Amino acid sequence: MENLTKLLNWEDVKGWFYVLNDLSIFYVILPFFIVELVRYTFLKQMSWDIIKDSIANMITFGAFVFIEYALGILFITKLYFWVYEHISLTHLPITWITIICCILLADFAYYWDHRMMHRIGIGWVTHTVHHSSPHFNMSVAYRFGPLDAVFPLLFSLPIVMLGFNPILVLFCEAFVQVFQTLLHTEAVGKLIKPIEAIFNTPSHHRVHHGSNRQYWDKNYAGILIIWDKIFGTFEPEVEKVVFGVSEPINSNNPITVFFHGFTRFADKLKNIKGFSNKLKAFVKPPDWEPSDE
Amino acid sequence: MTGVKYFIISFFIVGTLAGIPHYFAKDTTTETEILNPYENLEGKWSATFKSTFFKGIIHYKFNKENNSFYITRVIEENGTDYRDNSLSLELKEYNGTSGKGIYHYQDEKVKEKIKCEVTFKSPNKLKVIYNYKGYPITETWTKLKQ
Repeated sequence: MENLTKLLNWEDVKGWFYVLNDLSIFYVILPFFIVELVRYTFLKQMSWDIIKDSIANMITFGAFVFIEYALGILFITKLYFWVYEHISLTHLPITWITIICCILLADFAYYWDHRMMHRIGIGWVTHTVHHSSPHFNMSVAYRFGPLDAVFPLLFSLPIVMLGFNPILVLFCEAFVQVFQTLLHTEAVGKLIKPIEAIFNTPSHHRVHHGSNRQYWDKNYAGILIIWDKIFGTFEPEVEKVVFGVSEPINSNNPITVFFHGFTRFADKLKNIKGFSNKLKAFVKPPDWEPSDE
Repeated sequence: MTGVKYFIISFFIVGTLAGIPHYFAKDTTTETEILNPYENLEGKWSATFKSTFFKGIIHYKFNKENNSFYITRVIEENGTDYRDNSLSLELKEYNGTSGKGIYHYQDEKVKEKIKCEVTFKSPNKLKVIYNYKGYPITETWTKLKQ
């Protein structure tokens, strides 16, 4: 217990997260993506579509990072620190217990944030980008929508209010994202039962990306699948997964991919009658339609 | 009904995950007290005064050798900017979050010692409370960027 409550050197903590988060692309994600490309070739599934899709994924990631940095510099970091200084509980010391609990809270926040992105119209407008690929590999993990960095704010600020260091919260959120990234693969089958029971796995996450009707809005988890089991959104992988969205975009143009959620939502709004119904479309589920139409 | 159930469960989960580190934080503080409670005071601090005795800004630097703050710069309201060594704050005791000390003031004519209490409010805020000539005074010091 002493080790868990010992005050850690903040510089060391930053170093550990740098290795786990920032460098992971070099020592695990990129090598694994190469393995996936070899696997596609070996199974004679390699196609120009996969290559173009992967390039589009990387470009959307670039656009997402640009927006995230701009928001971060202008607004988010300041807001986090303002909340930390003015409306948070006693500031927690950086110990192993604090880090473990912060990761679990970030994972829990990720579950609800992710569920909201699927279940309200304005959330799906941006998150549909991530689900629109008909393929499933590491590059799809980097396929982000324009506002994907905004919604997590609503869920991570309460963690800061609870006394967790804002930078630690950002590190933990990034750690959940990196763990999630590793799940985007068809190359790994089901893992041993205890792991499948507790953790989110490639199998569980394939279900999340499925366009098969029974797989819609299931398995929102980041690291722990137990959140889905507790909150009634768990679905095991049984039927072969068909990846993508129910209405495919049939395009690898990065601009089309990045903004298709907005263009589709704008079309939907045009066809909805009444101002209040238009407003409802922002917060109702993506498949909601006014009853009087 | 399901929504209420999920809210209660979520509240319990968040309460537990936030409660655990707060519960054990007490143990951590004890250890930091033993290690170096004065660590969070290191660096430069700025205090703004609007009293009848002085209007302006004073910059202090913490000296860890003798646990005292020394003036590095005085900026008067009219913009006059100078160095000064008439005032220092010596901490007699400090546990990492609060403590007691003495303000030492000395010029050619006067030599004064004023008891004060110090509270570490956050990594960027320090509160110094004392009585001067019957007036209760609260100073809020702000950490300066290095």
